[in-house]
Amino acid sequence: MATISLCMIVKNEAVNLDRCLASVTNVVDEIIIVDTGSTDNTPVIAEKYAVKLIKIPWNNNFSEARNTSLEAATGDWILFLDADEQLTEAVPDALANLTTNITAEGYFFKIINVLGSESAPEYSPDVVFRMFRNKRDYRFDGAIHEQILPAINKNYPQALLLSAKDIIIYHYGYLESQITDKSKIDRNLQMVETALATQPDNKLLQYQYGVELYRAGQYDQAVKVLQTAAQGIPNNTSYLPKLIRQLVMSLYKLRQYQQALAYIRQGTALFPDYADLYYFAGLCCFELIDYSNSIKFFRQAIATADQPWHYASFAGIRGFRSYYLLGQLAELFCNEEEALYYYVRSFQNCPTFIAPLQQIIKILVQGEEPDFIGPSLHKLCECCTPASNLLLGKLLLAERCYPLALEYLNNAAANGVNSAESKLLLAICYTQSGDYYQAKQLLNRITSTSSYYPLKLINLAFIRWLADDDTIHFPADISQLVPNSFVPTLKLLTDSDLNSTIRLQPEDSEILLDIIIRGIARGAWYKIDHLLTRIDSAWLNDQSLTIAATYARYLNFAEAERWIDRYRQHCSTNYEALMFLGRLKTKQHQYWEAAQIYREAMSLAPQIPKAYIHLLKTYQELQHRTLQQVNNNAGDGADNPSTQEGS
Amino acid sequence: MNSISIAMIVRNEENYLAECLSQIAGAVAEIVIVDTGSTDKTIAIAEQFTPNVFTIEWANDFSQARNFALSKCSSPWILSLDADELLDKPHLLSELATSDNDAFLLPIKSYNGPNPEDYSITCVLRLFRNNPSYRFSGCIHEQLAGIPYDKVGTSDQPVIIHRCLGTKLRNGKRHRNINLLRRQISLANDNYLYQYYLGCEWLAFHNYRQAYKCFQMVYAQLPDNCVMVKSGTVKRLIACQRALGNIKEALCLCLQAALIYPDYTDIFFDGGIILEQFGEYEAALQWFTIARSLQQPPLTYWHLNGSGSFLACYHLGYCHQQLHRSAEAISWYEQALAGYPAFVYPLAGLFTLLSLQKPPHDVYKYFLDQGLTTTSDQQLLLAELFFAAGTPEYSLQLLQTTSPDSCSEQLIRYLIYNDNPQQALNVIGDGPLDCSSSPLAVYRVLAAIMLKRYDLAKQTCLTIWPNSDLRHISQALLLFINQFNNRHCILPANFNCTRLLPIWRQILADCQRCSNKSSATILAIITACHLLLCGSPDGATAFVDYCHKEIAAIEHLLDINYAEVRGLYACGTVQ
Repeated sequence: MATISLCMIVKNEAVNLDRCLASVTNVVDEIIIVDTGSTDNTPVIAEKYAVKLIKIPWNNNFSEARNTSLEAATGDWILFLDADEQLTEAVPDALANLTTNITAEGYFFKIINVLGSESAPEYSPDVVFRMFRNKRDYRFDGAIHEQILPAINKNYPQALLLSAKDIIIYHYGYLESQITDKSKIDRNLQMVETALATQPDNKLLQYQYGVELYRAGQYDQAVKVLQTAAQGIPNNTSYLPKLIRQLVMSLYKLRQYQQALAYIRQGTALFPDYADLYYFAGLCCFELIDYSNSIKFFRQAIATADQPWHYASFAGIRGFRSYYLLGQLAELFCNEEEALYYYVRSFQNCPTFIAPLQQIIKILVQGEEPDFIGPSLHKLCECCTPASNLLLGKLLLAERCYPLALEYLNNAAANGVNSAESKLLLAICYTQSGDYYQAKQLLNRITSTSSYYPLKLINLAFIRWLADDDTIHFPADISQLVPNSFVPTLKLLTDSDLNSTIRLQPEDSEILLDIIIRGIARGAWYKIDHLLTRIDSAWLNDQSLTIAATYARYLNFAEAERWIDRYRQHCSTNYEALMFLGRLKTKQHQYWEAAQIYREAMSLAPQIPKAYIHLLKTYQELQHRTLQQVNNNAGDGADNPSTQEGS
Repeated sequence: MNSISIAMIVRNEENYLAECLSQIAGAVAEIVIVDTGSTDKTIAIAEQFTPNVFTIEWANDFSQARNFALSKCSSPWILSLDADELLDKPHLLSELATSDNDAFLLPIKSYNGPNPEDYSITCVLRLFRNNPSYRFSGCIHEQLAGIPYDKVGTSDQPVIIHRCLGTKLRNGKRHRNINLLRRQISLANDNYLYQYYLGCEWLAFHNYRQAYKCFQMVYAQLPDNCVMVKSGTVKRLIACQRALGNIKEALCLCLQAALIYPDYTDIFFDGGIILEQFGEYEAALQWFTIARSLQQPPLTYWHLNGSGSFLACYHLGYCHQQLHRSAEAISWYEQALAGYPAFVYPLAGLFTLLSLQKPPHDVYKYFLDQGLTTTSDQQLLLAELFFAAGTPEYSLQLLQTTSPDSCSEQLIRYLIYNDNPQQALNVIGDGPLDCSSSPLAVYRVLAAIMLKRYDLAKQTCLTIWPNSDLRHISQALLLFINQFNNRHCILPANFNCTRLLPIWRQILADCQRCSNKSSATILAIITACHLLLCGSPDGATAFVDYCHKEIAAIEHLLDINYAEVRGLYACGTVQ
């Protein structure tokens, strides 16, 4: 049976090495690790496994280091990995089986790059060459981007290089936690620049340089470099699809959407099944307000077949990402049914992607049937874990759906979630349903050392103000115990002088607005009204749209009208305000007023479909009511004893 | 200058003769006028310009009369002209008279209306050497015979301009012509030229069946190389088939003709029109594109001015618009206007497409900057478009330079819906209102209501009541005034309000387009009309239908950019 030697070079990889070695320890026959100067625990971890550890000084030459590891290898085959990688076999002995092929000279492996954050990772597949027969002439070349294939091709041009079956390498090096600071990006950038200096015409290097420039945020440069890299290379170059995509992404970041689309057209002519290109086309059209084509492209992205591995298609492009954007587009056309359909599909495709869930909740909350929300959510996701209950509770709380949020948060608490945060959130829900006793109980269990202490104080102050509760006391130096941004709100709620006024800085807005909204939600309109008189007028003008929306939500249309008028007086009429006003009128069955408002909105922003669609629905509603009335009258029959004759 | 004689035959041409002669008098050596029996001031006018005025008896033979005129000409060259024609740049005649040729075909523009671009153009043989063997033959549509083919030249200057005569006058001449042609045909029925001219006369009378028969005969028998007549024949055959509703046959003819006369712009244009009618916009685009690339065909063809330029551009724009390609459509409309700024057709399409991209103020500025608000046609059309889009403030701005007399009804309407009732009343005036001004009654009542002058409103209704043609308007408005003042009345069961409904409906529709979107008065008017309409089953139906129209209009606007995703917003019909 042929033997396999794993050859690695490492430097300060204490975080990753264990995972890597654990994955290969029983599938390779020999492990050789060349350490180029670790100052952390790396050697200790290596010692745990039966490795041949070779320490050499670092000479700024990756090939030199790797070749050192090859020299020490005694196996028939060489496998090389990096410390931030992990080998997985789908079937036992998958790796060993590769060596039974007498004619093969080397193998390409599927690799999955794990990107983003640990809690919501994204996966980007690719292909890399990692295994070859151990021959003396096969040595790495290139100080920065070391390559083994050139040596193989030179010595054995007819070498048979195959794809490894049933094996996947996971690469964790691009996780946010790994790229802790800009310096790693800068280092990569520098390495490529150095390599290019010696090989300025190397197209592959140029492509890699473009990728690093994009990562470093230098999109302008990235475009130039990638354009050069693309010139003159044959259409079947394996990295050409990715190159085109990188070019498109750079142009997208630069907001040059028409150019991006031009490249997409070229790209799809060569690679008509490349989903990512359609996805980015959808994004570009979206920015160009070409919604028709945007929708078409996203649908096309979803409809593509499984992507070849060398396309390195981003996860979700054929699924949750495109579905989510289709949902957003449906919302632009005020078609909530369609939007929900897409959001549900998006969420089902990737349950860790919470954006569609947020949108679903938003739509359900804004809908006309509050009793509908709970059952819909239950159908959509089974919340078995405390974490998922907590998440849903938070999302519902964010949409101010307090009773339902309470349900989920209580489930989480019942299953062991005991944090200060969860106590606070529960307290808020209880406060909003009027159960101040429960709320106080929970709040009192938040200690002064907790980071949620300031919010506890604010909430106690709020309850005291709402319920005129004298039993709630505060220390005299309460202002020192909370961040400065909380002080004005606290003053408003606790000041014994009920006519004192406060001045506000921008950073104070968030918490104050939240309190005001919650006060309105509680129905304490008289109190809130008085509170507002003590606040700086200019600030109130800026917030008047939000305040109007809150009153409308809690069906106080008179106040809502007052506040929206104030908004229109002090802030220039904008589209959002008009749309809100239109909905407000519609809720009060004032359809003709609503129609006029939507027409005004149409004039303001003729390219946005929303106002047109709302106007359409207004006429539909008028039609509907008229027909209903006719039916009713027909049912009444001919006798109308109460009518008057007259002229 | 001293080498040309004008030879003209006249009969009762007092309206045009003076202008015609005064224009050319300075450019020619001699004018010979032969009168065939005028009963008006024709002869007297002629004698003011020339001593060479003769009278002969009319023998139903144009050639005879003309040849007599020719015999009296003494200059080396002769120009045959009619009294209702004018020459553009007559001084260029003398240049032609120096050539080796014996005759010239000159372009002739036949105007269809007052518009300077509304004409067809071809060429006619009118300038020739004074040679006794060059004489006219044929009692009608006389042709000059005897000139060797190789001695005939073509010039594109000067241009003969054939005025657009009033329909009455034209039709009178046509009857005479038809009789003469029939006579000529009976004498020599294998001369297809006369069949052709007979067909033309029938066509002018819109008798397509007869016209078709004549043209069909000519088309079947005439060889292709008789380009002038055969091309004219095929173009008219196409027109006949279209008018008779045989659109497929018309298209076939276009296809055949396009192969025979690949440089005849009009065929391609007509083909495009037919395909456009069929809704085959992509195919139509191809045909219009060819027409545009051919531009103006050789003068031997009968060519509709614009079919190779601004008309083709307009239709290219229209087809692109139907295919939801806004950018291309706008570009073509602009090209059409670049060639012919006073062209009104593209304005509607341009307005719609631009209104979906820019706010109304920018759209208005666009038309202003492009110089498209100068003629009254443009102003009236754009004003109406701005009103329909709900921004009558721009309608008023557009009509500032138009004289109130020509557009008073629109002006009043825009004033009312732009919150300007007093001025509207001023324009309407205090005089009595008659049948032709039935909308004015409505406007006066509306303006009065806006000014809270209910007495004036009522009075207006009462004054038109006696007029049985306007009574329904009076009823509608009286009910409206009462409803407005919240005095709702139940109509008797047998009351037929069918004629009243459209009036309330129109007010309702117009109110949706007023400029002051938060006017309480407008809202009250809308509510009143709504209640009136819903007071009866027929009215409710009318109202539902009105909503339907508004919905369809909005969907149409959305379709322009979003037709492919119609499913997102289109609604099914309300049952």
